[in-house]
Amino acid sequence: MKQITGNSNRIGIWRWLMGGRHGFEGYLYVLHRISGVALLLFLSMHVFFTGSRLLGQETWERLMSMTRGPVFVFLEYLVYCAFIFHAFNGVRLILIELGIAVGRPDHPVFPYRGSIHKQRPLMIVLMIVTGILIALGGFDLLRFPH
Amino acid sequence: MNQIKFKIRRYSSATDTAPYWQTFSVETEPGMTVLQGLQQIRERLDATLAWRHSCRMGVCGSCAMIINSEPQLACNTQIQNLSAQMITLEALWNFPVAKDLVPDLMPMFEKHRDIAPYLIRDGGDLPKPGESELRQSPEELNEFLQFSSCIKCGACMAACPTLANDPHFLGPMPLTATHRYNSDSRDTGFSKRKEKMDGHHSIAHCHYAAECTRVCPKGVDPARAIQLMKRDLVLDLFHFSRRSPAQPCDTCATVDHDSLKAPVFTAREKN
Amino acid sequence: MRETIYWLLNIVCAVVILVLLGLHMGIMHLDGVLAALLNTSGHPLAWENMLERAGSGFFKSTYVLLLATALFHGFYGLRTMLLEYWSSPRAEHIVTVMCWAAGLTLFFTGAYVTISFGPGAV
Repeated sequence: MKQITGNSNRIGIWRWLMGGRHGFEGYLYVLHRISGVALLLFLSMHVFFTGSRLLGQETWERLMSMTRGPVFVFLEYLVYCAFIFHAFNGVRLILIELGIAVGRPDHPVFPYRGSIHKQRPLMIVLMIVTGILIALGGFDLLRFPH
Repeated sequence: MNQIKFKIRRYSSATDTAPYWQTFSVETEPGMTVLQGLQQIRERLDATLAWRHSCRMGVCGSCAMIINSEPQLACNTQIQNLSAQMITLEALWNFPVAKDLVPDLMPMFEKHRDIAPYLIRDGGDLPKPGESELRQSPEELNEFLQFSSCIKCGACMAACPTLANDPHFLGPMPLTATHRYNSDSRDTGFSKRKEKMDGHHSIAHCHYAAECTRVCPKGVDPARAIQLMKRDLVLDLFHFSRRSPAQPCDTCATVDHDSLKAPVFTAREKN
Repeated sequence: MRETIYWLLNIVCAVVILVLLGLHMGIMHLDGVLAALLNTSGHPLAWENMLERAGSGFFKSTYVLLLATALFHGFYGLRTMLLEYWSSPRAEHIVTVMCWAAGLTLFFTGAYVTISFGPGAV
C-alpha cells in the first residue's frame, strides 16, 4: 500500500514538555533525561577542572577560588539537585526495567489498575526522599556558604 | 441542551498543503459522546468532515483520536466528563494523516506484522484440532491474557514519547504483541523474535514514561509488557529459560467433542 | 544481543555509580559531618588533603572505576536520545562511534590525571 506522506503528524520533542498532558511518570521521564544531560555536561567539565591539579598548587587554588562565587555555587546546587533526582528516580527505573516493580500481568477489568499503580508507592517514597535531600542541600548551602 | 465548541484540525492529503483548524458549534445533552458530536456536525454542518468509526462501543478501536491533547476513543469519551466549553480534536499523533481525523495506521500494522504476531512452534505445526492439544494452566493463561485484549486502536502509539521522535521505534502496540506471544506457553518463537527485540528502535528505547499504559482504553498495559520482556531478554542472555513450552498431549482424543459444543441455536428453535 | 548487553551494562553501571558517587559526594560535601565523626581536618579540596587522597590506592582505583562507569552510563544515555532524532543506519554508526570517542577521550584524560597525580608528581 502506498504510504501517505503529506503530513506525518509526528509531534517530536514538543511531546516531552508541552505536547499534551502527561501522567506524573511522564514528567519524571522528561526530568530524568534533562537531569541526565546536565550531569553528563557537568562530568565532562569536572574531568577538565580537576585535571588542572597537574599544573600545580597555584593554578589549582586560583581555579578553586573562582568556583566560590555565588553563581558557581548556585550552579553547583543545581547539579546536586539533578544528581539526587536522577539517582532516586534511577533506583525506581532499575527496578521497573528489570521487570521487578511493575507487577505480574493482571486481568484488565475496569477501572484498570496496571503497572502504574503497582510502582506508584515506590515512586512516592523515592520522590519524598528526593525532595527532603534537595531541601537539606539547599539549607546546607544557605547555612554554611563555602 | 448545551452549546459546546468542537475545534477540529482538518487536513486532506489529496487537496491541502498544510493542516488548519475549524470550529463547529454542537448541541450536547447528558450522556452524549464525542463521536455523537462528530455525527451531528456531519449531519447538520459539514458533510465533508472525515473520521473513522465502526462499533460505537469501545470494541473495534477505529475512532481513537486526540481529544483535548490526549489519545482517547471518541465513542468512549462523554462530552460532559471533559468539563470543557471547547473540545479540540486531532488525528492521532505519530501517524500520517489521511484526512481530517483519520490516521494512516499502516506503519503500525507493518511493524506488527514484522514481529511475527502468531503462535510459532519449533519443529512443526500446531497440533490439529481433535487429534491432540496443548494444555495450558490458568496461571499460564494469565501470563498473556491482559496483553491479548489489545484492539489495535493506536492510542498508545500516539502517546509514546519515543515514537514522537523516532519513527522507526517499534512502539507500544507491536512490542506488547511480541510479549503476548513470547509469554504464551504454547509458543516457542522467542528466539525468532529476539532479533527484533534486541535491535535498534526496540525495547532498549523504552524508559517507562508509562504514557501508553495511561491512555490505553482497554487496560492492556503495554509499559508492563515491555519491562517484562526486558527481564526475559536478560534471563535469556544468561541462558535461564523461564519455562518449558507446553507439550502436545493426546488425552483430548478420548474426550467426546460433540458433547462439549455449546447449544447455540437452542433458544431460537424453541421460538 | 548487542543492544541488550549495552542496556544491561548501563544498568550495572548505574548501580556502581549509586554506591561510588554516594561515597564521593559524602567525602566531598559532608566534610562537617566527617570532621565530627572521623576526626578529619581541613577542607576536602585543600591541596594537602588532595595529595593525601592521591597517595591512596583505594581512592585512585575507585576514582577510575567511577569515571569509567559514569562515562559509559552518561554516553549510553546520550546515544539513546540522539538515536531517537537521527535514526538512519548511517547516523546510528556515526553517533555510536562519536559517543565512544568522546567517552574514551574523557576517560583517558581523567584516568591520566588520577593515576599520575600524587605526592611525588608535582
